[in-house]
Amino acid sequence: MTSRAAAADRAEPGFLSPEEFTAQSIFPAFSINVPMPQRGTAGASITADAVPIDRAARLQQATLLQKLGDAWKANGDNAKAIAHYEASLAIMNLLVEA
Amino acid sequence: MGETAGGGRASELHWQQLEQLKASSVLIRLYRNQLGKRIQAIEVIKAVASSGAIGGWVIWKHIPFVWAAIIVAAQVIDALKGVFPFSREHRAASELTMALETLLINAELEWEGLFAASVSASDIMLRRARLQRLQLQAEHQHFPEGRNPPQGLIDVASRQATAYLLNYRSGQGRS
Repeated sequence: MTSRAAAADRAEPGFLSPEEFTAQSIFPAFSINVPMPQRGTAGASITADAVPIDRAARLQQATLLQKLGDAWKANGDNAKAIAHYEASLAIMNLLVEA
Repeated sequence: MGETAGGGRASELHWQQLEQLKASSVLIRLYRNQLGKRIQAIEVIKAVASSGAIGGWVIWKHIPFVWAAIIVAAQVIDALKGVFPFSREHRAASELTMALETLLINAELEWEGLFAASVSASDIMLRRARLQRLQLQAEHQHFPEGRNPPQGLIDVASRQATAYLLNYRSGQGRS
């Protein structure tokens, strides 16, 4: 953790840094380090200006698929709507994981 | 953009807290099981030394040193029960196991909510702080004097928690 991050942690009321938590806990700090699941929605979001040009095209594609999904949903065809939503989500996942 | 970066870091810290909680939950369960086996062994020795005294003496009178060893072991156990309060520890470990496992179920459910929805970094931090507070409260309630679990159990708990979280992570990736 950087010193800036540690300072920000201390500024949060009732917040303990990992080190402070371990000091108060009866358990040691376990060595686990399983990477956090990536889906881009846990407190993060994709913004167009943060995506390079080739990725921006993908983002546009995902947005279009989502809109098509909305259109199918409005027409009452839920199966097609879900298929379009899933395709859109798959592209978003690729963008986040790349 | 700052919110995005903060949210990412907050999520990372929340995930790490979940990792520690899972490992703690596994460790206290292993510790409870170990204490349970010790209590069972002690009870067997005490039962052999007390209730079977008369019958045992008749059977084993030709090997008195075995009998004497059992009696001595039972007396040592009685003398040391204040120093190694296995029963009290076992009860505390059992209660903490239930508390942490319940907390873990809630924390995983909360993580699913964070994973699926766009939640602000400050909100994630508050949820993580609450998770920390609840875990520490449970620990201090059941082990007010603290406890140093054996290193062997810590290693096993780390391995089991890692395997569980890798599995959990791949399950989330598919969803």
